[in-house]
Amino acid sequence: MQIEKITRQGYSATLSKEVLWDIYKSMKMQRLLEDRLLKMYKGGQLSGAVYPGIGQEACMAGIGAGMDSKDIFGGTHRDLGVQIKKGVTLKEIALNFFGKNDGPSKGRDGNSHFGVVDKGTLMVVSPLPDSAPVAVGWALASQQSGSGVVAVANCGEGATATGTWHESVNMAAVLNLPVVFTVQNNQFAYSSPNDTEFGTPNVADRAAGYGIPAKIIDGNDIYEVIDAIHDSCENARNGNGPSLIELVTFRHYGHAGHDPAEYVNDEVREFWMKRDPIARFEDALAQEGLFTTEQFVSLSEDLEAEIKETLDWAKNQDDPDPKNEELDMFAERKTPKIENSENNKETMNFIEAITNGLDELMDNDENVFMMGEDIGVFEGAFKATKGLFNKYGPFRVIDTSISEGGFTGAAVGAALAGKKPIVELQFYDFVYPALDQITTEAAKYNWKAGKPVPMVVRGPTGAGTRSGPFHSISPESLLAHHPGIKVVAPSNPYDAKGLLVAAVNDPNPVMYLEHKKLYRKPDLKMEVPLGLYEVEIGKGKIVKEGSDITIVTWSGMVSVAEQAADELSKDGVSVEIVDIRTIVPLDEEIILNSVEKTSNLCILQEDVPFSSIASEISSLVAEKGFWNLDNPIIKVTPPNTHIPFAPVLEDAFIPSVEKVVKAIKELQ
Amino acid sequence: MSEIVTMPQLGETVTEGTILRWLVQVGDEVKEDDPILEISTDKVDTEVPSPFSGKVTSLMVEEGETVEVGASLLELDGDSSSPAVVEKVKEKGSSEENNINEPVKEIIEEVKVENTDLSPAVKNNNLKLSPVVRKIVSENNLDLEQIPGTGSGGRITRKDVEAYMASGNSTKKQPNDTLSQKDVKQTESPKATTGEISRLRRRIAENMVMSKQTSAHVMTSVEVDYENVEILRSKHKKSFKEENGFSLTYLPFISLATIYALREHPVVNSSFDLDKDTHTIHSHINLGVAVDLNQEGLLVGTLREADSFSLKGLARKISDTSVKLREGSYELDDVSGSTFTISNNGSFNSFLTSPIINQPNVAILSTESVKKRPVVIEAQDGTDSIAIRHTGLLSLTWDHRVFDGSVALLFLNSIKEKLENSDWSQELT
Repeated sequence: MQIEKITRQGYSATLSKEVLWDIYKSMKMQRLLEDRLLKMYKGGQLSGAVYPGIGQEACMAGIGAGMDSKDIFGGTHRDLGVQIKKGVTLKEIALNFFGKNDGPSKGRDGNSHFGVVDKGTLMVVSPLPDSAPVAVGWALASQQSGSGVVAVANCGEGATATGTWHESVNMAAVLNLPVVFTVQNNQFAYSSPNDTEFGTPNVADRAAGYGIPAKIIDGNDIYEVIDAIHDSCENARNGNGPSLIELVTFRHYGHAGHDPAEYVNDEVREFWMKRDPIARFEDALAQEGLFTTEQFVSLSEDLEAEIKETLDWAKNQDDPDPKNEELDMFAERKTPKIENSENNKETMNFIEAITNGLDELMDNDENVFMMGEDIGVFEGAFKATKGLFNKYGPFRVIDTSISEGGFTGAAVGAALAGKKPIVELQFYDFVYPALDQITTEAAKYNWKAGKPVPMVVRGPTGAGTRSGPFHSISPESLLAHHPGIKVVAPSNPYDAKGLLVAAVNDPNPVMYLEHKKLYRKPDLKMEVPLGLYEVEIGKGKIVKEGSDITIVTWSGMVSVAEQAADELSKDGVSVEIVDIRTIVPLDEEIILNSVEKTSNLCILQEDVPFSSIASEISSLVAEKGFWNLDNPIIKVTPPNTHIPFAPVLEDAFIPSVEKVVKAIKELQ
Repeated sequence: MSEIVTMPQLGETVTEGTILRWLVQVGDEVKEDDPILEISTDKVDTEVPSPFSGKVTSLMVEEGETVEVGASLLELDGDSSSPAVVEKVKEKGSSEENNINEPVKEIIEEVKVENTDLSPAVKNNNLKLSPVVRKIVSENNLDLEQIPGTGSGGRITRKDVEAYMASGNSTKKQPNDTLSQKDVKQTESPKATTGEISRLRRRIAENMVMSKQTSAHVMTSVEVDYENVEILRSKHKKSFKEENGFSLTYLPFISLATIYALREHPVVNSSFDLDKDTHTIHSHINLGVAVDLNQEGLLVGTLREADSFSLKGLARKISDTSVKLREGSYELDDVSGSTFTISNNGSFNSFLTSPIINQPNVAILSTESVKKRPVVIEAQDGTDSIAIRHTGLLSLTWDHRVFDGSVALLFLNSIKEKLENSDWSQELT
């Protein structure tokens, strides 16, 4: 077979013989390893899946070789070659494939779904290209700190059709971030050819839409790949912003081990087999007189032996212990709780307490920064960032494009890079596009990759401002259902600041819910200490003691509970009010203790009832407090509908004092 | 018709506003859309146009004051030049009124319904008990029937149980000098009354004292395993009730066993008169059965020649007699001439009773409550096991002047033996 020749011209021409051998070795390692894994998979010796990147070795080794060792890579399941080139060991890969305890994901994810952040590879997840916004966030942190790190965000051509990719490229372009977007166009998105995925002739054509430079290169020419990646990375490192490289290549096998790829016709296959990246590299190395065929054969034999030996070794390593199943859901906080004498106080309303907290947090720690829509010059839709842009500037109070998924994912990357990002959602209703990043990336990082993600997603929640169905949700149950994230919902200015400080200093993703009706509620003004202090996450508070019935509530409903308690006291009913303050982790003890005291429970929430926090608390008390109950548990909630606009409808939707009083009176 | 101008919401994020300056004074006539005041909110400083026409009758906030959206600002005495607006506002006002009043009305109605339900429901023994009530009742071994329920439908609530326990403890345990105010209040509530003693009570009183002064009372008791009786009773309980209209209790069985035992020990079925120097052994057994007149007195009904009755006959006779006595439709013969008496204290859940002899009898048997208790059973091969059996005490107060302990125990054990071993199945078919 005639092999198309390649030659060294740019940066690759400067590489030493040893460096070239190392690159060749990593390509060979990838091919032999994946070939072996594929055989084991087909022979029933391997669970899960294998996603062979055989045929794309030059893309992967070239990306790895073109990057600086400190640069970060966010890729996909078909990027083992990059991981190998970035220094991830054969042992680490083998352990992950067998789901072993000592593997990079501790058996929590299998096969190529892992990253080793300390070696510069981000966690691989299945929704693609979800690591792209994370890579963008790392680049943002690099830009802020001047570390010179470039992020390479890689995916296949199929994943470029997603909003996530679009938001990532757009954000990087707008903020001029040091990111190189690489797209390995291997002709098929699973089974779908290019013309079913995008309307431009090439992926690279899209770069014009973002105002960034792009290149189309032969992804099977190792030298061209190394040169293009190197040049783009250096460009980005020098402050010239992001670029896009389309690496045209071909996947020798199907999407995964089970896929025979019968959708590829023989002509296409033949075209590409002539351009096999390893054969071309060997040919070029031999032509230059650097290495001989005997050396290639001998390396293959050595690698095959090493692979066999390592896989046999990995197979016999310890499985994870199911009793540790619940470990690592949250990272443990290692810094001490922040306390001050709280002597110096100022009267503030709810939003002033938040603004004051944000200001002091940013003043205290330069790693704290904010991202969100209209939060800079305009100071936010609700003015929560009042004065902050002027004080801290555009690199720490960042106005973002309308890309909730993009900037929330960027917060994950920035957090991994050592920052403490605070994301503002203009309305918490817009958390939906961000949920993928919150649950796929933020919530799973510590569990699956052992890396804490200290970030806060804050924003206004709740109804009552005539804002209709898309500016009014109470998202607590929506969020709390996902393991791995904390959820807090303060009800007064003191707790608002204290919980914000605790949230920013927590090593985990914390969803911070601000009921917008509380922002400027005149009777909620109170003295708030100046200087940083914390209200502990996971601890509720008894806001009113009583003996006849417990109302468990939080956020905007606490004041409703207080008014209902006043009404009921006229009839001699003594109400105890528990403000849980934190939804996750829930303070079970304070609830159970109060029910033990009163024997009656009413749960009051503004969120809709089905499958909600009220249901969860009801279930908790039925399971752990059953023998203390004197009446059925009651839930006072809105109907299970969307939030309506018309004032009469909205007023009827939100639980009122009258509804609480009536529900409790019916019990007695 | 007066109209109220309220703080407008100028933007969805605004919840309050500050009154910068009034542009009208009390007494001014204003037209719809005339500027009436300037306000300042987080978003904007603006003039507020009047939504109505009319004469200003009151300014309800001061300049500089900050109030919530919706707060009343100004009162206008409206004219008829803008009737459409006025009507709309009126409608709105009345619908709000309904909104506020409706739930209250409902609650009152529901409470009323519950109150009328209350008294019959209290007597209903099938009321549901909440988990906490079940827990406290079982931990403290309380009798639910003694606890008045004040909850919905007469249900017993935790408070009811706690109130009940508190009242019990205060009478038992509190020494006089540490009585709390609460305890004093409770003892004050029933008023002291003085009245005449009824004729029946007087007769009972005299008889009781006379008996105590006459006989040398000794009480002896034995434990009886009623499993034999219980098996038979539960087997026939339903059909017996259907057939006879009254329940088959333990009493007829005990009475029959007693009659057999009296035949074996005739000295127990006798009268003894020390003054006249006579001791009469009776030929017939006239069995006296003490009947409680719903806590208003006690009479002994006499089953004449009881030794001639079958089990069923005895059951019917006992039932008829107690009905007669309780209804007051008895004659002298029904309450005199007994030769031996049974007092059925078990029906009031006694453990052990020491009854006073019904003169001129020489002994009285008290039947005690039958309950399931653990009993050690020895099998024929000598191995022990614990079984749950229906057991209860039988106690006999007897006159030591007439006979001695051995007779009393032989008599009692004879009753016991018959209850435990007799085959009465034929009597009930």
